Amino acid sequence: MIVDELLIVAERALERRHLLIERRQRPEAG
Amino acid sequence: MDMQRDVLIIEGDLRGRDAIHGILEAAGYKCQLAEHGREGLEAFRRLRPALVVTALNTPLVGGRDLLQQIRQEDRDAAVIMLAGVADLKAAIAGLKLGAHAFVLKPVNTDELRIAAERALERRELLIEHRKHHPDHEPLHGAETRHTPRRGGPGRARRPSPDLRRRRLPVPTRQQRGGRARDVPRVAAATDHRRPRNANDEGLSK
Repeated sequence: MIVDELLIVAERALERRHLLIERRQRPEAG
Repeated sequence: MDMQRDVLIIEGDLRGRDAIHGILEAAGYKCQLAEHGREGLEAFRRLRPALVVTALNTPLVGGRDLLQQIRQEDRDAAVIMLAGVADLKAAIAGLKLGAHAFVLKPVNTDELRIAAERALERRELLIEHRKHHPDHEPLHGAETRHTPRRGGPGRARRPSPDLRRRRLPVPTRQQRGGRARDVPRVAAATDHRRPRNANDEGLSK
């Protein structure tokens, strides 16, 4: 895996984690 | 059919196009097909699908230009690129331009299906995020934070505030059970000096 690809994949994974946590924390998410 | 399951497939190779069509149709996607970039772009403007799966080497309008056009017209469009091994660098450049992912040819069924699901999930999450935080800087864009800056090649930018890792809470002294220097050192020192058995004791004397 090329370094750039690895960095982008890592960033996307963190982004996904962040967005999923954010979604879960919204009041309407119940 | 759910609008979220609309996908536009742009692939010049007929067999490849049919294969991708078969995979995505079987997974429940409503597919539209285009055989070159120009046709793909026209179809995109007409249909506004949530997901675009495009080859990088599409005739007439290349995959990279296509990606830029699509992202310019709809920043929420999820794009997956199909790349040959020789197109690896172009595929990574595509990621930096905002494509969600690339899948190497010959396409693996599960890999494509997972990539499609994740791409649509990411699109939905980003739309939701923007809805709740309209003042935030975009999490996704033409430039990732790993794109070299003009000011210095390869210099990393600070992560966006949204992506900065939250620090774990630092335990209090009480939770830690006191500071390191509160731990009686004598005990440890005594252990080292303590003879292991009677013979040691004898030798040490």
